[in-house]
Amino acid sequence: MSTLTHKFLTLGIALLLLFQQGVAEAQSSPKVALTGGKILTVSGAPVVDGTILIENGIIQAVGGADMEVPYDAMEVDCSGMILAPGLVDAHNPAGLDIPNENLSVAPFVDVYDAIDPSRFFFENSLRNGISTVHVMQGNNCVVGGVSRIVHPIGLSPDEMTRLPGIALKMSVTPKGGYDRLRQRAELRGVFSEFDRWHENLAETRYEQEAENSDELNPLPPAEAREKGKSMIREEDLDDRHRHLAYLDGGKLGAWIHCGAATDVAPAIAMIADRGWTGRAVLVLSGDAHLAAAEIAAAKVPVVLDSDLIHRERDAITGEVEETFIPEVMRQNRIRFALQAGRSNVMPENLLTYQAARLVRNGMSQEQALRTITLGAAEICGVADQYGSIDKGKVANIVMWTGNPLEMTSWVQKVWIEGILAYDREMDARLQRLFPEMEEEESSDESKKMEETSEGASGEEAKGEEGSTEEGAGAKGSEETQEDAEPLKKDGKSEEKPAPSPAPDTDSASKGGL
Amino acid sequence: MQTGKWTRLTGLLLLILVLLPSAEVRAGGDFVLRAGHLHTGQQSLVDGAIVVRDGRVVDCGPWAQISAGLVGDLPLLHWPDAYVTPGLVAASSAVVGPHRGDESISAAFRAVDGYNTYGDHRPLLETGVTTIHVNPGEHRLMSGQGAVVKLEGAPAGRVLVDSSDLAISLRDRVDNPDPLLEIPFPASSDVQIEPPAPQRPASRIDRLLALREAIDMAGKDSLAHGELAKVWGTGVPMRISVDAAPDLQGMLQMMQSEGRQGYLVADAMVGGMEADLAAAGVPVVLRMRGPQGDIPNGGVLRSHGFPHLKDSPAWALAPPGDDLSQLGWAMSEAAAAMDSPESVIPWVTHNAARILGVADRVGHLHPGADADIVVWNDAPWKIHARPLEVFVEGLRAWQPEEQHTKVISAETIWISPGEQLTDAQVLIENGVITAVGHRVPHPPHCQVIDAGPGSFLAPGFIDCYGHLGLEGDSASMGTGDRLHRTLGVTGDREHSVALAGVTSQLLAPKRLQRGAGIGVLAKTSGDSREARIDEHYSMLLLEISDSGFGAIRRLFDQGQKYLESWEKYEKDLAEWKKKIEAGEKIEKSKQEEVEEIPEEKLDDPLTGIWEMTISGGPIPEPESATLSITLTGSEWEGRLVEPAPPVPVRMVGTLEGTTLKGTIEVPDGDLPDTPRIEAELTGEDSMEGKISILAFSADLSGTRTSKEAKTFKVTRRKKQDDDGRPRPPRVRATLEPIRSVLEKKIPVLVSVRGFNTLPSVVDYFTGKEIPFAVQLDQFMRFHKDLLLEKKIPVLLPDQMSFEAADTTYMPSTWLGRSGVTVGFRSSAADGARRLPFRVRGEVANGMAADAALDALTRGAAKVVGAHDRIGQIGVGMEADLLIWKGHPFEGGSRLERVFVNGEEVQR
Repeated sequence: MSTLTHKFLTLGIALLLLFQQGVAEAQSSPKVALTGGKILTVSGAPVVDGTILIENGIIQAVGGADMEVPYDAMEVDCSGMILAPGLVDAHNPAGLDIPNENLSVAPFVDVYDAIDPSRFFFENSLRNGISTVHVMQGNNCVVGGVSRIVHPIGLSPDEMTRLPGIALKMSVTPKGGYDRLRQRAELRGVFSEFDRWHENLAETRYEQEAENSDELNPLPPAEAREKGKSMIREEDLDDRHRHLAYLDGGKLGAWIHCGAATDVAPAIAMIADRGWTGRAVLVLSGDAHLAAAEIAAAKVPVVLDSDLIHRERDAITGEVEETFIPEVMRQNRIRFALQAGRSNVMPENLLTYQAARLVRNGMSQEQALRTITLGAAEICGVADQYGSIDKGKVANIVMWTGNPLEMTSWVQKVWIEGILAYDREMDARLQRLFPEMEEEESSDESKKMEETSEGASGEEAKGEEGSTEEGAGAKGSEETQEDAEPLKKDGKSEEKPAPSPAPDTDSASKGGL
Repeated sequence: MQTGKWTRLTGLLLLILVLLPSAEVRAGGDFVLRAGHLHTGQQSLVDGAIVVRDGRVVDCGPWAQISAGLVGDLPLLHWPDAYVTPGLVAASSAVVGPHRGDESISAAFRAVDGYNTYGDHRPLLETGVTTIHVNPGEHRLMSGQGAVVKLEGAPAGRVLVDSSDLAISLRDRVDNPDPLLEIPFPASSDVQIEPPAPQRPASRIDRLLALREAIDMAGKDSLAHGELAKVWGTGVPMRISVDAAPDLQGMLQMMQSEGRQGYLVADAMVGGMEADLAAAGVPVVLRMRGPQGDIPNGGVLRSHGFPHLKDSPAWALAPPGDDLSQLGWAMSEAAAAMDSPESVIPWVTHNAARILGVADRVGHLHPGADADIVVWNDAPWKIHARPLEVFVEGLRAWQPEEQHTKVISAETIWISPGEQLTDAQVLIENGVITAVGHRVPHPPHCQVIDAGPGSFLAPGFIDCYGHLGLEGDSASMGTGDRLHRTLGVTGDREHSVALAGVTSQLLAPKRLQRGAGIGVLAKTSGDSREARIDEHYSMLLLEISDSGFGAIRRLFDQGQKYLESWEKYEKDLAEWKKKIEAGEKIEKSKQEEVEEIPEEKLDDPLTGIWEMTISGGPIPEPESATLSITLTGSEWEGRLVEPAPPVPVRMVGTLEGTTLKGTIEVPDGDLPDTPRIEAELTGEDSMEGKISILAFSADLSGTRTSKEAKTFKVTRRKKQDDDGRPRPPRVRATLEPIRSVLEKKIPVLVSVRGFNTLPSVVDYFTGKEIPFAVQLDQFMRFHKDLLLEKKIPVLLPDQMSFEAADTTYMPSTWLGRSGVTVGFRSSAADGARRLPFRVRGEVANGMAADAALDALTRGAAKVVGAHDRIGQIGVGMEADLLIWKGHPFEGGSRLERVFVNGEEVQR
């Protein structure tokens, strides 16, 4: 590991230590009861004034107010808040040191080696309610590495990992510097080479077994190969081919990147050809949604690009046409998941923002929330453990101040495996972002800000909160000082000329008074 | 596991089988296409037709044969001027490749992978190509597998052959490829880093050796060279790209020894090789070199252009550099070098399809083929030939943006009796002739109409005086009537007239109201009134006989006043605008609302209240009225008191001695003429006289009942808006045409009757400098010199000849020969279609054929005053054209096609 990575790691550890100070005492009890909040179970109807009982990181029971809380459980009062399952980011390379390997064919790698726990991405995921991240290599590959499901908290990849070996990444769309001819030739080459190796191995294994058992009439090579395949043991697999063997053997999912509609047919043919049906997922980008009919016929779920909108220019007229891709998927009844954007500036990195756009384009709130929780967990093949608040599932629970799809509500607390992993009031970074606030509090200016803060209404906060971390930070830090009404002070209102006392419409109309 | 895979594969196959019919249902269009020229890809047909059902050709042949078997359920697309070919097959293209792999010899690269099945390839369809060969490149000794794809259609159905050939290149650039670098695995110090492995061929001599060795290796160890072994095993043809004769020879030998099929892709061909190739049965895709002037290295087959070939082998043509936009150039260049230019069509259709192995579906239009059709505006090998429409599997895949551009070529283009162009062309853009000459511009995708041998292009005929469109309405109409309202979309009558060659008509009322009316020049074909006429009135029609010149004079005087009021308004308005712009404050003039209090005078012979009685003339019973008259100086002004008029009626006039003269002003101007009063004071309080209007008059007698005139509060129409902006005068429909005449916007057509009326008419109008034409009666023969001198166009009467002094006198011949411009009239509601026939009669009786044609076109245009836009074939003129076979006024000629405003009138 490079020294740079070391440095990052050390920094990460330091940060996380700082970050988790306030969490320490909560970790002591194996039983936690979250009471009084409205529970959006996702899998079923919401429970008003519900109780979630967590034991050893697993949800033991979900019930109403009448549910009895065991005497030894640490009770957390969530009244007035909304409890929702932690969001599932279905596909994200942002947690990696670098998203792609230099080697075009590298099925032997695992994101384990590249996960950087100190990435701001993980910290930010918690802050935005994402409790489960499917960390996967980027799209710029022919055959990439193996992905894993991690929790965005922990000091090492081991600590973060919840489920290793989820899927193998491939791409039918050319990686950088490649064209489709080379991309597909290499892709075919990988599997024909694997098949050859596999058959040889099978034959060898059969011969070994035959020798051991003193088989007098060894089978001819073709049958030997067939029979030998079942005799291949784990230790026979070499590093180069192990993951491919897992992939064909059903232990890994096949996630195939399709950057254009013309790439969908080869990807689907490959899925059918290699028998990956049922565990294959297409990672779409570009105009791949044009092939929606083919995807629907193949019944393959997809992961959409965080942009959600495709713009295409007509070759003759030059007119630009916009397509809202989730709508295409919905019409073709294709299951889809979303991924948080990789930018730290654009609102696309909030899964809730993307889900809100789904609602805006006609999806119900329930469906939209399901898409970024249980739906994503299903597509990742981990719906038995994630995605809803149900008995037996991993206790990744987010406490929201309001409807998660509203841009004005925020994450107050996150429990991961029943342990309080994030508490906004303890958010060290949010506090550190505005350390001067305490001193300034006495000044005239800040007082005015406070007075007007209620007026600086939701619209403003809606735009700002999603887009900048600083905005969220400002809120959090002030809130720690004033427990009552949360202040909506943000970058925008700060820029306003100080003397203007009344940004709300009522007092604005009074003008100079 | 293997069985499981097979089960799945079988399942997939079944699924495909289930899905297949649904893909087939996506059938293309059904139609019959008939075209002036049809090339099926193998043979050429004149007036051929193809029947398309479900996107496939089901029948093909000469129209006469096809039409007999038609059931009538299919729409017919008729392109009489177009040249129809199968969708072109580009045997080589640059749409895919060259691949970016490093291997010098590999069959693993498949061009079909690089073809975007969802791509929008319309820019390529524009070249007429519908099927292309995609190749993995010619940059490696063995670049991979080619494929044949369509440019349009459902994504799943676009690929015709996913592995059509094995691409081998023997060009110089394949030598010395980069060495292959194997990346060590695992990347650890235990694994030795191998130096990059050099690749073959190292030199020209090594090419064939390396190739043969690789193929042998693949045959021995099919696992190591999986893809090559597989491809070689399927026996796909080799596509061999060569540019030097020795390589070609070597390759032919290898193909023979290996027993492989294949074809060559060569930039040109040396003489002598043809025979060898023919003997080996190896076709060539001839990729022509562009005229860049590059001189290739020695040993090269030949440079630029199309080679001279002894036989006509079944080869295919490819554009220089595989740039499909240059295919048109390649075709025109190749056609020029062939025995007949039509021989080039198979080179880009059937031959190409056969070489690529897709001749069962594309490259021809015989039954069973896909309905990939290109409708060309001209023969495809013409340098300006462009598609007007491209069909892929019977569906319209590409069409140019709608435009109305045509080029008509004819053997003779008749400009004037003295000027005719032979083998010339006319360019029509948006209904207007924009070029005439031997080689006019051919804008892209223009419609090209070749009128063929013996064709004679003449301007559309003009009927100078007709009633087509009045539908038998024989009411008289005056200058205020809205004659243009009778015109609309053309119907059957107009259609028959247009097809007789009469493309314009001056629509005139059957009878003029009081000697004046208007005429509207209208096209005989058009899909709206706006398309047919330019103005609501295009001519003022007058009838002047010996007696009635006065009425016309008065009409013009009124018109003059009306014009002046407008001129004043326009001047005021311009001033007002100027002032507004300058920011001046405008003072509203005080005169506008005035209270006129007439002076009261005693001893006044006229001022006072008069009881009047009007009787006689057309008035059945005497009518009485009360007038108030005020005399100021010698001018008097009177107003009607009783019966109270609906509009203020004012009388003005003069009193000279005891003679009272005046006119009655009726503001709305609805009266045909201004009533006049002439009276004589017969006593102190009485008068006798006449009130007259036009030719009618009534007796007037009156007595004064009071010497005090009634006081009127006169409110005149405001002449200004509140902001001082002058208000326009009241529009008087009857005088509008006169105003236009006086403004020299429209000409006058005067029907002159009587022996000696013409000179005074000529004086009057030439004096006013008003352009005019005349229609004359039999007395015209006395005025020939005057007509000639003043260059007055003459509208000939219906009557062909007059009897005069024992001789038959034919105005057309007589005037026409002397050089007077003449035009003909039909005077018929639908008889205009007989106009050309009538003019034939004139020709039969001695009028020169060219003079007759001139009279129907240029002369007529002068008569109706529209010679600046119709009646001639010239730049800027409206494209009203007739295609005749032979001169219109020669025996055996016939009118074949008619164009009005550049649009053909369909039969």
